[in-house]
Amino acid sequence: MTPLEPWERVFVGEEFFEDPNHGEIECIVCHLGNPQERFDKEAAHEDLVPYPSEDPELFCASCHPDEVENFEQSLHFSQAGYFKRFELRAGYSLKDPGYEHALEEFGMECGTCHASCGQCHVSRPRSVQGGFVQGWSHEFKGTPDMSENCTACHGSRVGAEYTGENPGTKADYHYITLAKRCDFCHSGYQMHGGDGTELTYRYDENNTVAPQCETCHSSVSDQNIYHTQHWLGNSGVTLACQACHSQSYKNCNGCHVGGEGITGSSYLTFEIGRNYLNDNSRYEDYDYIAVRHIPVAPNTFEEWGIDDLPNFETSEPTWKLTTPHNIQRWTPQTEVEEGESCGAACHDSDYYLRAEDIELYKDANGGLGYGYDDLLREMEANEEVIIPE
Amino acid sequence: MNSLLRTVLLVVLGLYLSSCENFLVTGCVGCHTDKDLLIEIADPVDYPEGSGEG
Repeated sequence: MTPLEPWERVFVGEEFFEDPNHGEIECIVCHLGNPQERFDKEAAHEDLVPYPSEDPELFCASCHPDEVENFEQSLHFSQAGYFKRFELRAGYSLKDPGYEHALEEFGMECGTCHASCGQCHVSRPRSVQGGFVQGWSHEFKGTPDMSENCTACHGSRVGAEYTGENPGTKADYHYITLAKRCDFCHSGYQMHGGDGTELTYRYDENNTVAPQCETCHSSVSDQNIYHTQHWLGNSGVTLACQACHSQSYKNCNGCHVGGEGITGSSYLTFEIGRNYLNDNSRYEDYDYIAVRHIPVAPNTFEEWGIDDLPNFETSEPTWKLTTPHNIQRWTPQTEVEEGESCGAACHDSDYYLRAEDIELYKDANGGLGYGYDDLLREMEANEEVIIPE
Repeated sequence: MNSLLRTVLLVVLGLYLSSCENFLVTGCVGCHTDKDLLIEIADPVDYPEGSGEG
């Protein structure tokens, strides 16, 4: 995403002052600073708070108590998902004594993908260098802008999938330009922390908080043989919706901190794995799920002085549940030639994650010390996901 | 003459006070609504680099 010009980041448009609520509040109430220092820019901005909503209790809750009540439990705000996955793989927390340096580095790298109220409702996220959403000029909008807020962070995978930017794929069936945007499925209730349950994984949100395909589509569960066999489970095997209705999606390998970022090439693929989530209220009923490679390697955090993740092979898979945003009714898995069996396209296909696939895709992990031992560790990490021959 | 001078002085004083009042009430706004001024003086601040990789 192209960064805004410096002046665009701070230009307050006249529309802001037409807001009968926020437009009536003096700037210093939220941003502090020293506006009496009229002729000295540096002095005027001393003690400035550029992102007041980083402290939502202090700056937002007095007028928006319901929205703020659970927001600090939102993964957008807490980033508990990052911390928990690190803890599982490392065996200790980044917040433990002795890791202050790594925690500080986290704040400057991974931590920039952190959303406060303002980064959805006023400005672009800090991860894309901030600045007001174009055309808003400090206006407060209830619904975030899909491209300048949501996909500013969730652009490379979700955004590209949803709008059909990946080669050989179509836009998501649910995507209608200027109509069905992220908020069509992802409610403000979900974004604001739902029921306040403290979460460490986005797929742990229960189905009263997170969107479910079944909410809209349950009436077609027995509409065709595919559904009766693999949705209702008449075949003895149940599949997550995405196993049939997702197209290929982007996978990444070898993310490394310290400035390197994603070091391997991303690649489009589609893989079905065994469901390893045994105690997940939304997904535990499926036997097979679509899985995507998570860009973590044993030496991902080496530049922070953390040479290895001791529990890499025993804690979490690297091919994990995914819910790609490129849903189509007919996909390569579901389309068959006239007269062929309904399972012809999928059964005996190479869609299933096999042990050799771990090696096949390891090349994208190349460089930066990913060796044969790491490959063996990654195979072990995915034992629960890999489908045996 | 006195009347004209007094009128001019009152107008100048009024403009000055108006300027002061606007500034005192909306000191930040004076700069942050002036696009030309911002183009001239705004400089990149220490926003971290980044892009939507999620």
